[in-house]
Amino acid sequence: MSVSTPDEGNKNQLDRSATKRILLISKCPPYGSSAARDMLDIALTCSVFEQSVSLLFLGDGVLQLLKNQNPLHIGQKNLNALQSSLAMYDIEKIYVDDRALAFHGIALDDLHLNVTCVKEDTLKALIREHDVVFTL
Amino acid sequence: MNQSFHTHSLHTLNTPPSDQDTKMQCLSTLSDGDILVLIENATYWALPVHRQALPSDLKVYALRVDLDARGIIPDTSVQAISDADFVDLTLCYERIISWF
Repeated sequence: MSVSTPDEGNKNQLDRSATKRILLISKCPPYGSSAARDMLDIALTCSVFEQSVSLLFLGDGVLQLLKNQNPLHIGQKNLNALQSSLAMYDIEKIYVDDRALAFHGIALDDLHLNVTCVKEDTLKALIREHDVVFTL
Repeated sequence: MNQSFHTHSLHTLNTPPSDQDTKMQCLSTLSDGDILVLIENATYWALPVHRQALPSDLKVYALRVDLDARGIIPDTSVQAISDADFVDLTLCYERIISWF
């Protein structure tokens, strides 16, 4: 997968339209609605179509990443298992909202995945680095 | 659970700590002797940092299946209960009030 930069000129116009840098912003807790699972499905689907996917867990979305989830007895599938498959789909740019971690008293060690912690000013830059931003 | 009958109320809450409105509505209606049962996404209130924001003298329970589902390690002041315990508790209180 190649992502061209603006200075590569017209010859890469086709490539640029075929491959988008997509930022998926996940804002909901893991269970209680299908939003978290739907977002991961979107991420995997984008990757299958060879798009460049970044994932940002914002607000309550960071709760999806708490490790040792066991939703068997509430009749849900374990989201941690699906998160483990992200690397196989080349989705390795995973960001979490620094302020949300602090709000919930969660440390990076409490999370199921290796993630990059971003502060508010970096969030704005992160959005500007992507062609398409989708929130759920 | 072996409980005697109370004339107080059992409040259930199912919204996460990011929903301050629902929490405030719930807290503003609590009388002395009432209890709070955290269910579904409200079990995040059992995280130590959020439990501190609830009254310290309030007896707080959380549904164990919902804690386990989310990987939450509850504050020591929160009592994890089974579904059967929850049913027993509802039988011990005069009214059940749902905050959602």
